[in-house]
Parts: sequence; structure tokens; C-alpha cells
Amino acid sequence: MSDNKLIEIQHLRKEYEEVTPLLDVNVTINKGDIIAVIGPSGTGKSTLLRCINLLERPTSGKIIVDGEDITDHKCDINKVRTKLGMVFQSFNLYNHLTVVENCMLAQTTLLKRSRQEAYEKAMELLKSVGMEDFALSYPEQLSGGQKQRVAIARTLSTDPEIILFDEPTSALDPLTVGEVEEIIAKLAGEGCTMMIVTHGIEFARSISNRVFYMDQGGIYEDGPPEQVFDEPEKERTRKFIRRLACLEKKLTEDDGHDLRDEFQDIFGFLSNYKIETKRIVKVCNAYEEFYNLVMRYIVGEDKTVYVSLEYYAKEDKLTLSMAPSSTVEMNEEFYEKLENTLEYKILCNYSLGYKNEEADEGFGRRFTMEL
Amino acid sequence: MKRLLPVIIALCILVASFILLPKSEENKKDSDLLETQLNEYIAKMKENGETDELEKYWVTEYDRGNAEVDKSGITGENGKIIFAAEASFEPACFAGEGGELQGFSIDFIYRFCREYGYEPEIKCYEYTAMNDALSSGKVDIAVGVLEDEERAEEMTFTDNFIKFDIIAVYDSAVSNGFNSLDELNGKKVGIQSGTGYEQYLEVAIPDAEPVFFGDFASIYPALQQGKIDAMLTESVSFGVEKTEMPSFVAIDGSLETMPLRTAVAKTDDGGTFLDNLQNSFSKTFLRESRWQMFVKGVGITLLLTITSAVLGTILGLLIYLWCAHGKKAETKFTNILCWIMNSTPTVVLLMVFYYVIFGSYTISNTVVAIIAFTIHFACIFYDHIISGVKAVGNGQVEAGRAQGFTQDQTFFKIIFPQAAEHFMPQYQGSIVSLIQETSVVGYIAIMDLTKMSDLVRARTYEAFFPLLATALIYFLLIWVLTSIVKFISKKIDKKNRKKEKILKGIKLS
Repeated sequence: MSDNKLIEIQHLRKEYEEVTPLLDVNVTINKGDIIAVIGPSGTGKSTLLRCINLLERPTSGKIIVDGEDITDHKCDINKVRTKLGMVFQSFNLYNHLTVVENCMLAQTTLLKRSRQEAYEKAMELLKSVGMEDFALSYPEQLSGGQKQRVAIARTLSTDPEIILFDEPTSALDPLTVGEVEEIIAKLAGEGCTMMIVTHGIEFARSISNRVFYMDQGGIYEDGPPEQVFDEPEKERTRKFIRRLACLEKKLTEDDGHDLRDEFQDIFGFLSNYKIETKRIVKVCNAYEEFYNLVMRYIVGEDKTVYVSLEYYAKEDKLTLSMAPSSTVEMNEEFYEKLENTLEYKILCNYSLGYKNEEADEGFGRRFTMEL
Repeated sequence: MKRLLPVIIALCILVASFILLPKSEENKKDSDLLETQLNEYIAKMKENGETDELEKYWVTEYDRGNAEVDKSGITGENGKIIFAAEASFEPACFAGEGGELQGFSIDFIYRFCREYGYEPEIKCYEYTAMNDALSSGKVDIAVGVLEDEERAEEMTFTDNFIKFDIIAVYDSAVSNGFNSLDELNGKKVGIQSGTGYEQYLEVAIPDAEPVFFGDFASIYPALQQGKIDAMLTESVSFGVEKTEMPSFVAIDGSLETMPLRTAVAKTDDGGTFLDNLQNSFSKTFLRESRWQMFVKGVGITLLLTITSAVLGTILGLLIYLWCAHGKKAETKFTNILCWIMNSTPTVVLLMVFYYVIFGSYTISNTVVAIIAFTIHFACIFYDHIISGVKAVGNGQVEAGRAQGFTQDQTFFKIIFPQAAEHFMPQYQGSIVSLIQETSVVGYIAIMDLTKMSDLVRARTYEAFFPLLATALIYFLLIWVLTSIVKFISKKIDKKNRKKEKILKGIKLS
């Protein structure tokens, strides 16, 4: 299977002045791998990517790309780089050239193709990302999503062996994220080898055939998506995945005046999981009612409530929990009269179930409902 | 109308300040009276041997360091007279102990004032500026001037109160010397521009080559460095010069005997403004085909500017690339170089290059100027490139390198075209500055436009027309050059291309 080995990373170490994100990374990337790189911030996801095409020079270790050791100083890195493609978070299009020229420049200069050939290939690629009508536009005339699509076409123009995506959708607003993710998914479907650093879990799950969860100075867990996302083998992975699918908030009495910000966050969070709008609206309403209910019955000065909205994708289960901080006391009536309150009745219409239980340490009772 | 209010206010302030400024005309004395008194007094001096006394005390038996002017007996009962004397010309007029003015011109002034009950105020001027001072009424009498046809149009000369010979001098430390003036035929002879001595050189030693210098202090080093074979100077001051430079030797013989006179302003004999304008025009451009001098000057200025701009741009780019490929050391060196270049005034820089760095080499002064300006411009352009590149940002550099472009390819194909857009306005400004800075090359005896204008001014003794003409010509030159730069920058601006240009060589299906 050595025919399939594209990139071999051996004992890769990257040190910066203050921090060492990568301690000792060892991994092999094969042709056809569609790797999602996830993990908390600062764990070296981008660093790993940028070491592969030597935008960052490793402090020590070996990286072999397509049989060539790029960490060797005698290596002609420019030649190797033409086999590697990169798509950046901030697009980095060549602003002084038109869209089509952006996709032609590397072809004519590095691959020595004729302008005619380069043009035809560029137009073909632009068509596949839906940007052929903008061929003679300049990057400054495009929106973020459009720029990223052009950037992808530009990368493909040199027929790279693998494309490295460094948080391709992080700079886009939630509505345009989708259009770019669609393109990437299409590429994955065509068998393109790629490595994507992303925060979009659902997206990562849907297209990848291998997941790197990065933590503790290296690739903490490496496995197929079904494993890493649904049944993580290791503890920290489990904690991360769980946290990702969870929206946590701290509300005080003042927030009650305008919960619209909260609704925005809920909407953004849940659209990641492709939950339909009707359901999201239900969640928002339940949120508001729940909040009013709890606030009404808090006794004392400090009216603070911890809210969490969790989505368990496997079972399509949405859970909304609220817990006042332990320093807060709930009015005695609350426990008795809860089921008689109007709010409660309304909530029951929304919810599929309700629980009232002892919460974790440091909190009062936790109220959970399923939506 | 309201929007013009600030402009109107500014203009009012300007006009008011001119009205309130004390006019030099107020002190103008009757020129005719002064002329009569001067001639009267000089005749008296000659009769009673005072002129001989003057010559003996200040020239033939000059006791340097001890000779003093008798400044007593000034009553000032008939008012104040303002005199102009040539600055720093020992023994005619110079600053002695304690900064007190001494010299035979000063001596004459005090004797004259004692006789007629005036109080003297003495202003020191460059020789060529004395005429302007007189005709604009800033001074009443100029002392120690040579008469000639052109000057006679602007001032009235009196009799002479002392005389001297024009002599030629060589430096025995660098040359075997010359036994007679004839031996200077075919040699280079240094002359201070504005003295008009070239006329006498032409007559006395017709095949000698005159080399002009802006001020006397520039001629000595040239003689000592062998850039000229001899220099012309006055017999009165040679004694002093010899004490400073013992190796200087005077060649026997006089080119011409020059009577030193005094002069007063010519009373305006009328003539309409237009007539005067026409007269000025013909004096500045037509007489002696002086327009040819202007043309030559323009040629030199353009040569200096364009060569330095082109070479400086290329050099600046090379320096940038050298630093980009190097490490801290290269950048540090360049920063120090730019710091020195930017902290030194252009004039000083030029003179350092000419007299110090290339001092002992025979090298054309035009070449030295081009070298100096090129290095200076390169440093400026280097800063432009740095700021332009910074404005483009690092993202596109990474994108380029990630695609496989080399450092140079990324720079030339991606970064530089965009950096150029950013620094183009400053670059245009630098070109304009360059052309203006070339106006000081007269200091190292290059005959550029400004220097030619100076020479014409020195001959015609009027300031208005030559200066106006020079300013106008510079204005036109700058206009043309900036238009060229603007045209070039438009041509290379990628965003201005038409569709056909972008898709050149491509057949659309």
C-alpha cells in the first residue's frame, strides 16, 4: 500500500517563543483521505497544516511529501508546493488580477501551460464552483463566499495531489458558509484528497472519512468519523464533542428585557445541525417562557441562571436545561405550584418531556426539557 | 461666497502685513547729492595723498591682525547712510577682532562720513547681490565695485578710490609653475562667477580655459587638488591668501588693472512698465544669445534628473531585493545608509561627495552629482517599496508561496504591482523633489538651469526676469515630468486594462 502514501509525518515538532503546539506528531496521509482536523483552539491544527507545505518551518522532525523529504534543506520546496494546494481563511486572492487570471497565473508561470490551455482550464473550474460569470471581475467586487469559491478554483488549477483547507468558512457569515461547504463536499465526492481544519462538526462528519482530533500537542485521536464523533475512544475527545454540541449561556435578570441576542445565537447554533426553522422557533419560544418562569420564582438579589442547549445528533435529541446558581434560592411555591402555572402549561405544549432533578455541584436544581 | 471667506481673510492679512512692513524706500537719500559728495571727496583724497595712504596701510604694508579703521569722529548730524560692502573680502571688508568690520572699504566709508557728518550703517553683501541692494533702495551707496557697461545701466559710478591688478596664481605644491601668463594657454583657470574676469582672460590669455565657481572658497580646494591649473585673484588680497596658503605663487604679470569705485542708485529715468519689461527680456535672453545658456542649463538639469531617477529607481529595487533575500545584517546596513542620506541636506551631501569622497580623483562633476543623487533617490525609493509592500499585506505572499512561486516570482508578479499602486503618489512627489534638488549643483560648478540663471543675473544685474524665467521653466519641466510619470503609472495599472488586453492570445469558444 506504499503506493497510496502521500504524506508521511515523522516526529514533527514545532516550537514558538511562548508555546509549543506540536510536540511529537507522527501520522501518514494516504491518497483519497478526506481528513477533518478538529480540536480546541491553540492545539496546533493550522500549524500542522502549514508545516505540510512549509509555510511554517518545523523545529524538528521529518515530512515526506510524495516521496520527497521537504524538511531537507536541499529540497526544492517550490516544486513540491505545486503539488499541494491551500485554501486560506482570509481567501488571499490576487487583488490586482481578474478572477480568471487568478486561476491562470500559476498555470502559465509554474506549469508552463499555454495561455489558451490555462484559460480553458480556469473557466472549467470556475464553472464547477459556479463563478464563470465573474471571470472578468476583480476580487474586490466579490462577496466573501464568492471569493472563497474562486480561491478553491485557483487551488485546483494546478491539479494538486492534496488540498489543505485552513478554516475555509470561519470568516464567512452563516448563510454563505453553506455555499462553500457545498463546493467542498462536491470535491470530496469526486475523490479529491483533502485535509480540512474546521469548526463545523456536522459538515466534517458528512464529508470526511478520517478525523484528527488534536489536543495535548499532537493528534490525540485519529479515526473514522463514526468513531470520533459518535463513540470517541478517549476521554478528552468525548468531552470536546459533547461541548461542541452544546450552547451554554449565563443569563441575569437584565437579559430578560431583550432575549433577541439569545435567539440569534440559538439560530446560528442549531442551523449548523440542519434543524428546520419551525423547530428552532419552538425552541426560542420555550426558551423565553422557561426563562420567565425561573426568574419569577428566584428569591434574593442575585438572579442568575445557567442555560444550556444540547443537541445529540445521533438520536436527534434537543435538550434545554436551566439551573440557577446555588447561591440563589427558589421560592418555595415554585416547587409546589409549578405544574399549575400558565407558563408551565405553555411549555408543556412545546416540550416532549420535562425533568426536575438535582443538578451538578454548585448549582441549584436543574430543570430540563426535551424539545 | 461664504466658502471663500477663509481665503479672503488670509489675503487681507497678507496685504495688511505688506502695507505695515517698513519700506526700504523711506530711507532713500538723494542719489545725485551723494554722487556729487563722493566724487568731491575722492578728488580731495587723491589730491592730499589719502588714497596712497590707504593703499600703503591696507595693501603694500599691511600689518595683518593689527590694522584698524579709525571709527572716531562720527557726528551723524546729517543723518544715516546705509552702505554696501563686499563680505569677507580681506583686505577690503572683513570681520576682524571682536567681529568689528575692518578693511580699506570700511576705512573709506568712515572717512567719508566724518567729512560730511553722516552716520554709517554698513551691510555686507555678496558681490553680485550689491546691485540688487542698491537698486531696490536697501542701501544708499555701494563701496568697492567695478564698473562695466551692464552695471552702468543700473547704477551710477563715481571715481575710483583704490585700484588693483588681476593676477593668476598657481599652487607650487602640485605644479611646477608657470613663468609667464602666456604659459597658461591651453590650461584650466578658475574664476569666480559674477566677477566678469573671464573677459580679461579672453583678451590676455585667449587659449586658456575658464572654469567657473560659485564662490571664492570653492576655488582653493580645486587648485590644491589639481582640478584647475591656476586661478585668477586680485593683487590686493593675494598677500592675505599667501599667508594662508604659502605654496601659492603669483605669476608675473597683470591681466588688467581694475579701479575700485563707489556707486549710487540710478535715479529712475522713466520708461513705461512695458518698456522696462521689454528691456529686461532682451537683456536676459537676447543679448549675447543668453537664451542658449538657458537651453544648455535645461539640458543639464534634465540629464541629472532623468538619469538619477532611472538609476535610483533601479538601485532602490536592487537594494530591496538584496535585503529581502538576506537577513538582519543587510536590512540594518540599508537602514543606516538611508538614515545618513535622509539626515543630510542635499547641498552638503553633494559637496561631501565632490570634495571628500571623490576629492582626489579626476572625475567629472556631473558624474559625481549623478552618483550622489542616484544613491539618495535609491534610499527614498527603498522606503517607498517597504511601505507599499506592507500595505499589500502578508496574505497574498503566503498564497503565492503556497502555490509554488519563488520569493522573487511572488514579489514581481503579485506583490510589487500592488505595492506600486500604493506608493505611486509618493513616487511622483519624490521625482518632483529630485528635480528641485538638482538646482543646488551649482555649488560644485555644474552649469544647470539655476546656475545659468545665476550667471545671467550676475551679468545683467537684475533679479526679476532671470528668476521669473527660471521658475517658469522649472514649473514646465516638472509639469512635463509628472505627466510622464502619471502616464506610465496609468499604463501599468492592472485595473485599467480593457477586456481585449486581459484575454490577449485567447480564443473564446
